[in-house]
Amino acid sequence: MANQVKRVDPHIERIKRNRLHPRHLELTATAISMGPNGVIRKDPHKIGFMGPNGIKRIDRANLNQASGSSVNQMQIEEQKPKHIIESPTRYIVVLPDLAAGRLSSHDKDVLGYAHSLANENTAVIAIAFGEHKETGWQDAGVDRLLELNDDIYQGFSPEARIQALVQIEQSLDVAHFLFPDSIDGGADLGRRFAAELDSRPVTHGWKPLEDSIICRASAGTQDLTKTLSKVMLLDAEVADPIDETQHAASTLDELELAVSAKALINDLGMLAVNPADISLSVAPFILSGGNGIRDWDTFHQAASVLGATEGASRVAVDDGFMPRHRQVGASGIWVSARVYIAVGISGAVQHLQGISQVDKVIAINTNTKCDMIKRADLSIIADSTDILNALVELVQAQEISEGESHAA
Amino acid sequence: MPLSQLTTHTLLSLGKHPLSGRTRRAEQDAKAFELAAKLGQCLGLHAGNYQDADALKSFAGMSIAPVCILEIEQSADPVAALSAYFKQTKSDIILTGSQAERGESSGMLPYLLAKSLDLPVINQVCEVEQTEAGLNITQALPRGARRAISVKPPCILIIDESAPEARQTAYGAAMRAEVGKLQGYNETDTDAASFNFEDASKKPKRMKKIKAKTAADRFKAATVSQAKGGQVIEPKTSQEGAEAILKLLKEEGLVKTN
Ligand SMILES: Cc1cc2nc3c(=O)[nH]c(=O)nc-3n(C[C@H](O)[C@H](O)[C@H](O)COP(=O)(O)OP(=O)(O)OC[C@H]3O[C@@H](n4cnc5c(N)ncnc54)[C@H](O)[C@@H]3O)c2cc1C
Repeated sequence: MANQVKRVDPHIERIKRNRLHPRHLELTATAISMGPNGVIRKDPHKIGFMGPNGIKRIDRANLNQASGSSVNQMQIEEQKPKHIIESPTRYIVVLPDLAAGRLSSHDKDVLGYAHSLANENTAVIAIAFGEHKETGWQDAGVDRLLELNDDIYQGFSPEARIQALVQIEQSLDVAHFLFPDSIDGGADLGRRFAAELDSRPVTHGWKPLEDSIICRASAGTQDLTKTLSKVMLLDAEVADPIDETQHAASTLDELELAVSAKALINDLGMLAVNPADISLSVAPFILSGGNGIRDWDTFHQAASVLGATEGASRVAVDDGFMPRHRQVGASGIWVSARVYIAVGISGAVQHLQGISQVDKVIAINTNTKCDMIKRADLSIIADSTDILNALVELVQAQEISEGESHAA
Repeated sequence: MPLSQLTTHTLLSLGKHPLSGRTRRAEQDAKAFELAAKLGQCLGLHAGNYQDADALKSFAGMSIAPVCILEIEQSADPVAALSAYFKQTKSDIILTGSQAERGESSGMLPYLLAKSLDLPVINQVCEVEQTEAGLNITQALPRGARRAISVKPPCILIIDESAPEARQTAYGAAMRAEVGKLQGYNETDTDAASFNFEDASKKPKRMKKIKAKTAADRFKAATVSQAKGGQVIEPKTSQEGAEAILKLLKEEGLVKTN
């Protein structure tokens, strides 16, 4: 992270105070000033500094910004060593799932594994099918990036994607194609591709050995050691993600792909799912109520307007406001939502355990000191009913204005 | 107009109870069989040894359709046998589970079969409906999301965990059932002969690695708790608080932006 740290150089401070010091003028002079007519003047004599051999030097590239000022604004950005592959002769292709548009930790593990198979002439290519929001390719170990987001690659489009992969395999010297073996898409695409190439893949590979990898077999109850294959499907945590080097992630553009849009499988789009039908443990968005809810009707209305699955704390369940299967926490359900709104929940350990997998927590509470606020990414200190009512109004107002703009 | 009658095959395999290790019906295949029940004329097909007929009777005990064994040798590749079978016997829909409960369980069978028969294959299917244009399929995605897909038969469908539960098997019906026998095409799977299975070893839990370069960083990592605490807003009006929440929800793409 970029940390701004001010560092004062006492040596320069001392020179600035001592008019007799040979470098005094150089450090105090301001080379650029406003002339009498309001024109910016540069004094060429005052620019630059004396080099070590008594020759005047002008630092036009600004390499040595520190010289005029004793306060050095240092950017403590971890300067990771750069990992640059100029002219690769061999490639390893990784197909991240990009679930929710970003590299998942599973994707990053697979990228880490790709680098363990690479040598100094190998570039790791990541192929991003469809739209994505990822920006951290360089830090995740991507040497080359190929973004394929034409219409034919959107949604569920295995046929187009396989065509593209086959052409890549024909035009580049690819040692391995690596897929995360996950339900977010990698498991399916990888198996399709292995079948297309007619090569027996590594599936559920989880423990790399020297020239082979241990795979889970018999639905996870047995291990099977396989030699490395062209197509490999890997479990999460197969290797550590890349975090010590910075990679180029330059675009790979010398490829000409000719993919036909003809498909036997037609994606008709996502279906509207009633949030109440989604099992609490996998629901992506949960509105959870606790002892701080005064008006349960407002709570239910807010959940339906926002399209959130309902959850509850144990007290809310014990008091009979919510059914038992909605209870979140140690003695209830462990949730994995991307956003969890805790309304009037104090954040007892038993409850916090249940939400340890949650990405973003929003707390609505009247008490600034409660533990939920320490856990939350965004906390609103206000009465639960008021905020829920305001939320409902806001969303409904937006829907109405949207409806009007559509009608217009 | 009545819809045309579809012929369906469900590929059945033997399961293994994860704890007792006892042979049972493979649960995913049972779900596939259940789904096939409403899709018209069906046959349950297992490529393997006829000695397993007794174990396969638990599928017959579901009283959905007859069960048949395509007999092949121990070392033979079931994909080759099934592919040869389906080249002769046309089937509109072939239903499979996503992964066998025994053996390599690579989940490749439906894909290899699709490749050799040149059929489209769809994974994570939880619902199938016949329409005039073909089939409407509901695909189960992670986090409870669902996608609609249309495809024309013939096709291969891989059933998802979230498909409707399979009915129980009736012991009496299972015992009375006859398991059919067909001669399958034998092609030896040479790779599989060298497979050496061991009991699954435990995956170690991943440790948090502290990669501090300086002593100060190491000290910080060891002492300062990682809990960051987020933004705290004390809104003047409830409107203001609601807007802050809505902003975050929009960033996460959970509420539509206009
Ligand atoms: C063995 C064991 C297992 C347990 N398992 C679980 C479990 O699985 N799940 C679980 O949830 N609990 C569990 N508990 C209970 C847990 O310890 C807490 O008692 C419980 O989580 C507290 O629920 P709460 O936060 O809703 O209520 P409280 O602790 O009463 O908190 C209510 C919160 O609402 C706030 N509030 C009050 N009025 C308002 C208002 N008008 N507007 C906004 N905020 C307001 C208050 O400031 C307070 O923070 C377990 C306990 C034990 C002993």
